[in-house]
Amino acid sequence: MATVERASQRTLIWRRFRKHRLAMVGLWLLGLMYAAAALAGFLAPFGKDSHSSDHAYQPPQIPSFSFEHGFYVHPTAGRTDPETLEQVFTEDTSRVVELGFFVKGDPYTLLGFIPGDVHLFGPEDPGERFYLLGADRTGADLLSKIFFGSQISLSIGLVGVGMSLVLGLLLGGVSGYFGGWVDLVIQRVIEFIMSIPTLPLWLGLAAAIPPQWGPLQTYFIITVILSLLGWTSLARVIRGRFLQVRGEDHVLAAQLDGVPKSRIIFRHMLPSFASHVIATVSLSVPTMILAETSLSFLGLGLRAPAISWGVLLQDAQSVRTVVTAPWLMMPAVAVVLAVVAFNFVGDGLRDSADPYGKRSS
Amino acid sequence: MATNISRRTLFGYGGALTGVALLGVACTGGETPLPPPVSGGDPAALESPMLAQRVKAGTLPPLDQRLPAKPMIVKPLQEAGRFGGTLRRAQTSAASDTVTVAFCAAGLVEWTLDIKGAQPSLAESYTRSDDNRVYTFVVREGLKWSDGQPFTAQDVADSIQHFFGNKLFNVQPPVYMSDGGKLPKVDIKDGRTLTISFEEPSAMFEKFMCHPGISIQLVKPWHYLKQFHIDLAETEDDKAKVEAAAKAAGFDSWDMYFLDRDDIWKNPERPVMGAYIVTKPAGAQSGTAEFERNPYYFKTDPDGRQLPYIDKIQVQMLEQDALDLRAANGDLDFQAQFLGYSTTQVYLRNAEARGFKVLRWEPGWSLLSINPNLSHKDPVLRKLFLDKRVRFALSHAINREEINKTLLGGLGVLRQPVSTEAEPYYTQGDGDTALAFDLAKANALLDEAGLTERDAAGTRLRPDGKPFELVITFIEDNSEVPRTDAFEAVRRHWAAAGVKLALRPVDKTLYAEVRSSNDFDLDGVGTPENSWDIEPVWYVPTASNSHFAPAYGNWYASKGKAGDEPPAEIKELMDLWDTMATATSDQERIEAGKKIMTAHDRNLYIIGIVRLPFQPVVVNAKLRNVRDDKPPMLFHYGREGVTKPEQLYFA
Repeated sequence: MATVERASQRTLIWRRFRKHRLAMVGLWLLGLMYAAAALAGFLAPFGKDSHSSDHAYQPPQIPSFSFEHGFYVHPTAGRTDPETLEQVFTEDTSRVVELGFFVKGDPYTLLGFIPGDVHLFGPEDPGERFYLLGADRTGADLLSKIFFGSQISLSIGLVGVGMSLVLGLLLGGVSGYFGGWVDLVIQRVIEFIMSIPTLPLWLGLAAAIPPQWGPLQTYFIITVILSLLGWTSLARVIRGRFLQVRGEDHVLAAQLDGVPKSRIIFRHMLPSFASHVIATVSLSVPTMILAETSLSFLGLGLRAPAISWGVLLQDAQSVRTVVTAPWLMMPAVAVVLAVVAFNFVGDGLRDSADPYGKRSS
Repeated sequence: MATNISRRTLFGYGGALTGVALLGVACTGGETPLPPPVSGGDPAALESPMLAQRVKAGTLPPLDQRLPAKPMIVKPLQEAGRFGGTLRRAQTSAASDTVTVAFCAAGLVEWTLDIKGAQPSLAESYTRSDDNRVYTFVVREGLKWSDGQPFTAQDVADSIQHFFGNKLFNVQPPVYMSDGGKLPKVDIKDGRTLTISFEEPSAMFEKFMCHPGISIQLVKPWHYLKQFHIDLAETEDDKAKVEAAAKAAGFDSWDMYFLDRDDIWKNPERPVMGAYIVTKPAGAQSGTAEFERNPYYFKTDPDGRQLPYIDKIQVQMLEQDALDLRAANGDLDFQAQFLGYSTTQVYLRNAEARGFKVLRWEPGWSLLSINPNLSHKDPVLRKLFLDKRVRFALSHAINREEINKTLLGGLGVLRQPVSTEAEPYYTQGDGDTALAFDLAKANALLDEAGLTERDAAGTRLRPDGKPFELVITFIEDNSEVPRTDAFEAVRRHWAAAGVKLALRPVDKTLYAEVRSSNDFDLDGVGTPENSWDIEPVWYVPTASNSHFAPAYGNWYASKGKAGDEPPAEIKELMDLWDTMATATSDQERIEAGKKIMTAHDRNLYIIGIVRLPFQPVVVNAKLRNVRDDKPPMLFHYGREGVTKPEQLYFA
């Protein structure tokens, strides 16, 4: 008797996904980024608050190598030319800052509970300064800031996206599947929420949020509130798809077989438009990262001293930076990588989850 | 499938494009093309070719009929100029009318070039009585508004009566037009001699009249404005018409409409006496405002050429970054206000190649300071802020050298906010109190003041057991000393002394609301050091918009009916201001002013941090007659107007 090979929907998706080369690259990239975010304290050469008034706008330093010192840079001291206002950095070639791996430095706590002070790479003497990617306007190490920034940029924004997704799926699904007065009520609620003007709402929030709250806390709450308002368009789309699929033969067959409602929804209906949901979500993630600072003018968005990619990039968007300190635009590379990775993964998922998609075999 | 590939490719490109957009966002400018400045014309011509054409066409009377009998003669700062050209400027907000203060000023008198006193302007002569009670102006004969109608002393008298005397515009006369709470007496003799007399001496009146933002309010075209003013409508029928016109224009009441029609920044129909009249206001649709020369302007150069030399002014509304780029690209001809200090380095790099100069003027209003709310709603905090030791401790705990080094490359000026030596109110050594970074001293002073207990995080506890947590409220602004960065540094420094600081950047509306409702701990703002006597509220709480004691200011302004009664030391400041305002001699005024400054210096009611080393001014290399000394850039002196813009010209 021939054995019948069985593969679950999930296995099928995974098989197809693995063949999607770009998506796999994206997945690896995302994995690395999240690992870096988790280990930021260890990977960053300096701590979050570390800065030096002598090194504002220090350009990137390329380490040299010698057998005597290993990797090293020469220490620098910045000075502003009173005539041209240029930042002049003089290298003290008589001294070296030795660099090493697994060096002791600023203390940190990994994942909020593992204390440590060993850094992957940095100056051997914790008092010395070293800027692989240059320094920002307060003389803080940009590389360290990019690592710490990933913690916020790759997490908080996603909370909002996740909440919108859950609410949209749930309420849109309920509305579309049951129809009738449930649909009526939910649709009217959606219309009500959509009609709330956002700017006065933000202004109100700006006044209502206690000033003692840190920027992180404020931003988190705002994200949550925005996602409580932002699920409506997704819910509308989901409802439409449900209405469409509800009448199809396989759903009817399942109903006649007495399959429970939840199973009908999750096994028989959702998979047919999972691809659409995935595309929506993967597109809204980058928007969220870039929108981090958009409310800063009201004191609601992320702002210093919080470190995130959005905040770092906001600093980079001045004429002075573009002309005199272009290295401050480095965080854009991180954002672009993250955005591209999310899009590739989303795209791959979409293709593999689509039951009507091209079979890659 | 083709569609599949194209979508995926699009995703990839989308990511890359996002990055490009991020990098490129600072590099975009406005849309309106800029006309290059034009110069030239016949050096012998006495009027601009632009006006000569109109005279030829018969739409304008000849020059001698437009000028007054005795025009005001302005000696050019460097050389007599030629007519023509468009002066290109930019600003960050269409709501700001400061370009009119600088370029369209008109007053009976104006600042002398050294900005120490008054010189006649629309008036041909001006006298002040010895006891500062009677001010006499003889208005020039034959002055005309920009529509050709005559300007007379009656226009000024009407402005005082119908504008300053109207409760809808001014609940009580503003401080500069107040004679113990009522209007001064106005007399006109032989049609030209205007006398403004006060019962109480008004020592500051001369300075007020020089302030271009104040003096222009006395110069209103009543032949035009009377149609919008209900008191000037003769019959009931006419009054109803005034109201109806206001309603039709979308205003709630006639006074709002009047103010709108009287706005020289917005209304091209309103006749002016200043050098320029707006021809195209900046509105929601248009990102550019345009001004044109006033054909009836009353000033000439010594050779009899009618001023201004430059025909037109163009003002673009731009984002800060775009504005800085325009300046760095040499696209702005004369600009000091709205320029970002932090971009100076870029201006300097480009100056030679792009044909402009970067002048360094005195910054008049950039000393970043922290105003503790001495009239705080919370009695515990009020008591703490009123304790001199706490204020001194907060000052000593700030490492100003570090802030200066990090943010201004060490070039900034460290000072407490009081007058500088440029002003008579300065006493040797003022402004140097408690500048030194001395953490031990700060801690000792806070201990002395009773803040000895600390919580687990190391924050001191107030006498009522709550942590000593303060919130600093400010408008985020990076065009001068970057405020968030500076206060962020202060937060770190104060934390070392056990004082917890939270930053609260807010927008303008919320800032105004928070202050007027006396609902803040600390106010972070740039404080003017000089010419504060024109706006005493910065150093004496004379009104509820005081930055360091709004409730006391409210008490003073309402004569004790509202607000909170201040403690003796603040009352003394108020008494000193009263003495100053009603002084009968300059000596008495200066004496009292010095005492106010000394009180500030000794008591540190306001804690200064750092001031810009200079105000960058971008000037087209072809633009002549810009002052080459270092005048202060200050609203009270008309900002760029301090260089007498009517005599600027393009070589």
